[in-house]
Amino acid sequence: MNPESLKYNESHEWVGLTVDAGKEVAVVGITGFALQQLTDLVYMELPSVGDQVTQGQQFGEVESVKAVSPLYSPVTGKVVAVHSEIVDQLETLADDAYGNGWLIKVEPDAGSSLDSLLDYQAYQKQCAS
Amino acid sequence: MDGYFQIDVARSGVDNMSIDQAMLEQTALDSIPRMRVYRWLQPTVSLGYFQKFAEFQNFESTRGLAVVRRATGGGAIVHDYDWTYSIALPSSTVGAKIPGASSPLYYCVHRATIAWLSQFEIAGKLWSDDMKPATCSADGCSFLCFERRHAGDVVFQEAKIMGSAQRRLGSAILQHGSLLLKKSNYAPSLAGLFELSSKFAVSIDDQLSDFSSRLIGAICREFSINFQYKDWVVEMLPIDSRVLGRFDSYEWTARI
Repeated sequence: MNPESLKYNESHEWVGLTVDAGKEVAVVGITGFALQQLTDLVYMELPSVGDQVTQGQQFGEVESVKAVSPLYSPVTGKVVAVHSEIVDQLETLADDAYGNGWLIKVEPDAGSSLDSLLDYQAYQKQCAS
Repeated sequence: MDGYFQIDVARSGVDNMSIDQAMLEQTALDSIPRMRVYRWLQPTVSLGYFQKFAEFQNFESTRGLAVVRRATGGGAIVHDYDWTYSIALPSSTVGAKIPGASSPLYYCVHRATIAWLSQFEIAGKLWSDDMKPATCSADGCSFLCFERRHAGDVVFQEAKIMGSAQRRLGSAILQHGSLLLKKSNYAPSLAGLFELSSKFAVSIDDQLSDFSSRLIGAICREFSINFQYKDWVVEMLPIDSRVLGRFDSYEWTARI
């Protein structure tokens, strides 16, 4: 996905909307900046298909060397796909953070909005500050 | 910024991990720095957050010991002859917008420990990736944290004597770590300060206050925090049943 068209949490998760089988789907991942900072990822836990995630609430966890950090969902809805294979290939996550590095796909709840999230420019500004 | 510090009484593994979690959650709410140095009521294994419970079950020398799972990652620690510390700080004091580990906090505590160790003629060093022995191999990592090596660990000669780990929650960060004082029969491969230096022959408890002061001084200077001695743990007791129930449950301890 094109990073410039995505929305961002301050906590470094990205979300992009796409259409899959006629339904709107929100694709969620971790930003390239965050992956650079996290350096060596050791473990990751993701939710299961069918779980409900809530914007601003934790949906998973990642362990980098010396730190366990929560992953916060940028969208509210039901998890419809989980990138389980990536959990065993964390060393490749940074290679394609906005493509094959996606973590979960979410069917957004009706009325769910991404308006409160950062756009690309605002996120870049945050990273530079 | 004002914060609270205390040398806590020895507690069970469940209580120690519950208090560390509670202080992280409380600091995430009120932004007040908290720190404690503590011991353990009985020999206890603390497992890393992502460590498989089967590793504990299969590890001969610690079989039958009390066990608790930490909220932080890394390998298992045998808390028999060690001092443990925990610090909860607002993330903004240590790099709020940078995800993952806070190196300044990590190195601050470990450098202060190395400075404190010099009085015992222990020339501790920070482990770096170009040093031997290597940490994890292709076959995986050692069960014991003190047999692993990561950049910034405190080592003396080839022995790791201090390691720490962090967890982030909202706008706060928890770091806790352990200083190995003496070899335990439950982890006989690991030498502690007693085995490494003939100068470290005084009563352990006599030194705890001195060690704590050294850590506090370093953190105060580095992060502009004014720690005041206060029995803040008592104010948090009883620990929220949600937190206590987690660390006391088999589901948590054997979660993976």
